[in-house]
Amino acid sequence: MDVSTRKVVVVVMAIAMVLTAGQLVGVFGTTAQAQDVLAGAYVDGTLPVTEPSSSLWSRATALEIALSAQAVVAPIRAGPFVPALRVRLLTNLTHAAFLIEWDDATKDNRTTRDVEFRDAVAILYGPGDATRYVCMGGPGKALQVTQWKADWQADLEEGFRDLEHAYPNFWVDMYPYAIGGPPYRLPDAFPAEARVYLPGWQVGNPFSDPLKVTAVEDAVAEGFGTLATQASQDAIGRGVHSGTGWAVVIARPLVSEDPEDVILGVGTILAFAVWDGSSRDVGSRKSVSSWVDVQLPNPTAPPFLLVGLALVIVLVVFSMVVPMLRRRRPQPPKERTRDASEGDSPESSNRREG
Amino acid sequence: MPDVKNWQLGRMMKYEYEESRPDRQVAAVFDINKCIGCQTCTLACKTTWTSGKGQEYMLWNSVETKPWGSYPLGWDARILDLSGKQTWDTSGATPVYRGKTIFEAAPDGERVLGWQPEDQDWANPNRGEDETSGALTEDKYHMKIPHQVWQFYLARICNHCTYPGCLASCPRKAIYKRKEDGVVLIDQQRCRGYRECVKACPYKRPMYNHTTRVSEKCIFCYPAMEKGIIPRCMRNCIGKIRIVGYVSTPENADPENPIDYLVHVKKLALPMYPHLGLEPNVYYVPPINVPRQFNRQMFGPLADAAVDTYTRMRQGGEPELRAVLLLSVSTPKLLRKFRLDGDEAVGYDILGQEVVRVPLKEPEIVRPEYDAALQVYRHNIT
Repeated sequence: MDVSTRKVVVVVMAIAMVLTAGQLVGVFGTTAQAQDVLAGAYVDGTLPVTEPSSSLWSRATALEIALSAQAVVAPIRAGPFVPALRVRLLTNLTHAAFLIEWDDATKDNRTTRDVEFRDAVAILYGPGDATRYVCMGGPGKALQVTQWKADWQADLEEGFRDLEHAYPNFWVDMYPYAIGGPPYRLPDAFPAEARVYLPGWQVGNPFSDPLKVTAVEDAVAEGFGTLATQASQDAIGRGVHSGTGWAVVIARPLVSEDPEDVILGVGTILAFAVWDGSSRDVGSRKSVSSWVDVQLPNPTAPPFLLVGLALVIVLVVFSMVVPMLRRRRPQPPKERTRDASEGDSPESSNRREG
Repeated sequence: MPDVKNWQLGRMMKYEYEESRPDRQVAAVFDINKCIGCQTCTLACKTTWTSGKGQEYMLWNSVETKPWGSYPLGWDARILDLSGKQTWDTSGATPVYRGKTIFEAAPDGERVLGWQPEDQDWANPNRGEDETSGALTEDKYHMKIPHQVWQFYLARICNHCTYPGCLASCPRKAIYKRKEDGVVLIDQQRCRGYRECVKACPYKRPMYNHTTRVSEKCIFCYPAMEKGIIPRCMRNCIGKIRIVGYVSTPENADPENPIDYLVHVKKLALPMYPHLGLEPNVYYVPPINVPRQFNRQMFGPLADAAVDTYTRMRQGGEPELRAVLLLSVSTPKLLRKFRLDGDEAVGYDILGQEVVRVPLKEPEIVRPEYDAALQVYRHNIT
């Protein structure tokens, strides 16, 4: 082989510097440095809040987060739990978007029948001093939760899932005050007076509302069993089931005017929970993580500075590599009698010849 | 888990929360011997509360033909199977339950021993209705008088238990027991459709609304009760099997209170499957035409004595007992007190006003077959 050691070193350095430059501008992702730190990547522009398959996600490092069955309060899940999540974080100047992926062969996005339970994933947000409140906050320590629900998304994308979908042979003559004819679809067939017979909807329960506006519920909790939908809904997202698992985006503002939201900034900690509907996960029957630290990219660094820095690095690399390649000449025949122990490599010989 | 007093078990028991009895507890007594299985109660409830979309299968009130009928399918057999054989200590004056309640027998990680009914379990209300308990081709069951098979109609609503399984199981505390009257309700705003209550209630009275995706249950018609009017299923009872009121704990029993009299004084009205530990507040006068072993299983160790008492009453004894049972559904008003006044039973409403007076024996009037005034013949002269 006629490649000198010096040339190899230069090429490797060049590749490393280009990769570094690429990472600086977010072209390439990085590998996780620590298991409990979720490092975000900066995006100049719109976040892929509804696109789990966007190429932008490759800019962010995926953090593998181990889960275990929630076992603090009963009831707890009896079956096998979802063992791990893979999470990526992208931010821009105003918002953060999480891509959460996990293995789940069954797509459970119906909750009409008696034993249909949804797939779901949630993020718990806490300030840095909330480490002992991993159980969804505590009395006087309200924490924010954003939960994506597979059935809410199905309602949004396919129209409200109801009896006529779960039971195709379903028939009914009439409902009190409903208008039109069977199967009397929600919401149009149910004017105000007919909604009295749909109590959950009548009292404003978001789970009963056929007109979903987002698949992500923005909620607040002060401990297990206290989760409540926030008055101000500030989160959005979308999930895609690949056949083997879910890839779900949950997006929210870094800082909002809602006092029930936790600021996503320096020191914010996160915890995750996943529900597998086919395992009859629901409520406290779930797989949960411990706290994860967040490392946000510096949102104040103007992207053009990063691009400029990357360009400088690339120019430096080329200024080193190109002259070296230009100086490259066909190697003269080696002196067979020369002792390699003299220390000059072919590259050093070439350099001397130049 | 805290220790609470369950007087129906004659002992303390474990429960999810501390004992917190309401100021007064709604209750009802159903006289099974008078039920004709007409389902008028079922329809009265259905048309009032569960005629909305998503509630099609819901029957907060149901009437099952026992021993086979059930809604949901096998609700009683399933929990009895899960519970296993249990024992009562009947050596003392008051029976003491020595087995485990559904709270004490809860598996690790669960609050309550329960099971989750599926669609098909709800799909056939009262499957087994009016079916005999054996094949008609067998000689001994075919066209013999008196009947050699037994059955009875079991009307059921939510028992508004003192220690509700549904309430204990809900991790969100979306189910609560009203302090003012003990009615157990599911908060329709707070419920998130976990269905833990559906799984936990051994009587299977919470039900999941397919359309609103939250659970619902009998509300004991509390808007009517607050006005001193008895619930819809009770008011419409053709067989007049139901009497409604408030039940006291044994030590506070008021013999003038119709419910206390039936439950505590005469011990004629018994809780259904008391060994499950919920202290249910709908009480039953056991059927007198069924095997005593079955009655003991369903109504506990006092069932034999209750059947004997009822039999005595039918034979002309127990006039006060006859009086209070005659007041059943004799008025839409909630009866707080009753009194035997000569040959008449008298009922008083929650304000203490007399609202009904019923003769123990209907006066027999025979009219002439031909009515001269109207110049018509009567087909029915009594």
